[in-house]
Amino acid sequence: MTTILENLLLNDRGIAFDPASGETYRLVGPAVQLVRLLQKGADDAALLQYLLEEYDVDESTARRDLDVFLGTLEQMKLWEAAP
Amino acid sequence: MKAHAPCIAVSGLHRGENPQPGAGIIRSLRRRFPDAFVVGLSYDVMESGIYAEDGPDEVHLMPYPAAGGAALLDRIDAIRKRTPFDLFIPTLDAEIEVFASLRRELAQRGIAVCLPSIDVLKRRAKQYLPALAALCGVRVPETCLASDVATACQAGSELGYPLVVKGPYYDAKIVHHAAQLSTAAGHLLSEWGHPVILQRLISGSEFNVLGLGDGDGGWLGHCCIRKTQLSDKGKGLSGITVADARLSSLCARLVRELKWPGPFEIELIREETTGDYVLIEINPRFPAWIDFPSMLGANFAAALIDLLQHGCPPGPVPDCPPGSFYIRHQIEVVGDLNRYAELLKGEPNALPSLLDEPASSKTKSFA
Repeated sequence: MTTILENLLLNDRGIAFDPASGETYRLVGPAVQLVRLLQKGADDAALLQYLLEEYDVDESTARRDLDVFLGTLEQMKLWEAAP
Repeated sequence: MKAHAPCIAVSGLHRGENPQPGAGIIRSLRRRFPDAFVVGLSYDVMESGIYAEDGPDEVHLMPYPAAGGAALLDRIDAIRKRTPFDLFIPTLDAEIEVFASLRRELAQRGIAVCLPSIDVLKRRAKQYLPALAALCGVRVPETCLASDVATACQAGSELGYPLVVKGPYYDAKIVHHAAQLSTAAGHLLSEWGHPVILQRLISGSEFNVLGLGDGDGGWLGHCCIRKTQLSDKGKGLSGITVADARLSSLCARLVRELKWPGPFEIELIREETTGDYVLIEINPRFPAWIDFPSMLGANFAAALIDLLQHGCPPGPVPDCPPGSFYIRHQIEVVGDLNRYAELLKGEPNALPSLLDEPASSKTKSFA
C-alpha cells in the first residue's frame, strides 16, 4: 500500500518533508532510522529487531515504544498498518 | 541607459505589510538582465520600492487606474518622451483590466505587454469563477453574489456560517454571523463597489501556484507553494515549494481552458476533511513572492521578457525542487525628501504639468 511516508524526503538531521502537501515533520532519536526502514518496506519484526540491536532496551519496552511510534504515524495519516 | 539593454516599465513597487509584486519582479529582472533600465510606474510617492537601492532606475507617478485609459495613455506617452520603454509589466489587479482594454493602443505605441483579452480576464474574475471551475472539473466554495446588504444577508443565511465575504477586486473578511456579514458587506460595497462575493469558508492549508501561460493553452512553467505562515490579513509570510501532480494537473486544466497568456497566480485551499483542492482565486499577474522561484533558478520575470521580445523563451522555465522555502524579510529603506519632492514636482521626469494634480492629493496623504 502506498503511503505518504514512502514519499517523504528525509534528511540526516531528522527533518522529513512531504513534497505533495508541503508538510514538514521533525523526527527524533530512533524515529529517523525507523522511517527509513519503513520506506524500504521493513516489517514489524524487522523494526523491533532494529530497536533491540541498536538500543539498550528490553523487548517489552521496545515493543511498547514501537507501537506508540507506529500509532502516531497512523494518527498523522502518514502510514497504515498492513491489514 | 545602455544601448540594446531592455528598457522595462514595472508597476506595483510597494513592499510593506501587503507587498506588491513590482519590487520582486525588478530583482528577478536584474538577476538575468543586469544592464536593463527599469522604469518604475508608481501610483503613490510612498511606495517603498521607489527608494530601495535595488529598485527602479527612475520612477514616474501615474494617475490612478480609475482615471481611465485615456489618462493612463497620456501619462505613458509623456513618460516615454523622456524614457522610451518598450516593455511593460503591469502588476496590480486594479490596473490590469484597464491595460488589458488598451492592448491595441499599447501595441500601436510599440509597447509590448502580455495581457489577456477582456473576455478572458472576465472569465477568471471572482464572480465568474464557479462557471470556469465547473468546465475544468475543479471545486470552488459554494458562492453567492450580492449587490446590496439585504441580499448579502439573505445569501448568508442560505449558505450558512462562517463565510468569507470579498470585494470584486480586493479585500476579504471572515464573518461568523449576520451582524458581522452586514457590516462587512456594507464596508466592501462602499469601498469597492458591487458585487460582494460570499463563499463558504474552506478550512485547510493554502496553496499558491504561479506561472506563465503561453496563450495557446500551455504554460512556460509553474511553481507551486504551500503557504506556511500567514499574516493577520491572510498574506503569506512564508511558503515552501511542493510538487503534487494532482495540483499541477488541476492548474494546467484552468490555463488550458482559458488559453491564458502571461503571468498568473492561482490560489487554492486543500480542504482538511476531504484533501480536495478548492479553487479560491485566479490572479492575472505575478504574486509578490515572484522572486523566490527566481532565486531557485526559475526566473519567470525574465521568461516573460523573453516572451515579449522574442515570442518565446529559449526553453521552459525549470521546475523548482520541492522543499525549498522562503520567509518574507522586511527591512527599512531610506527615503530622501529631495527625491520625494522631485517626484511630486515631476523632476527629473520633466513632466511638471502632468504631475501637478496627483502630486497635490498625494501630498495630503503624506501629511
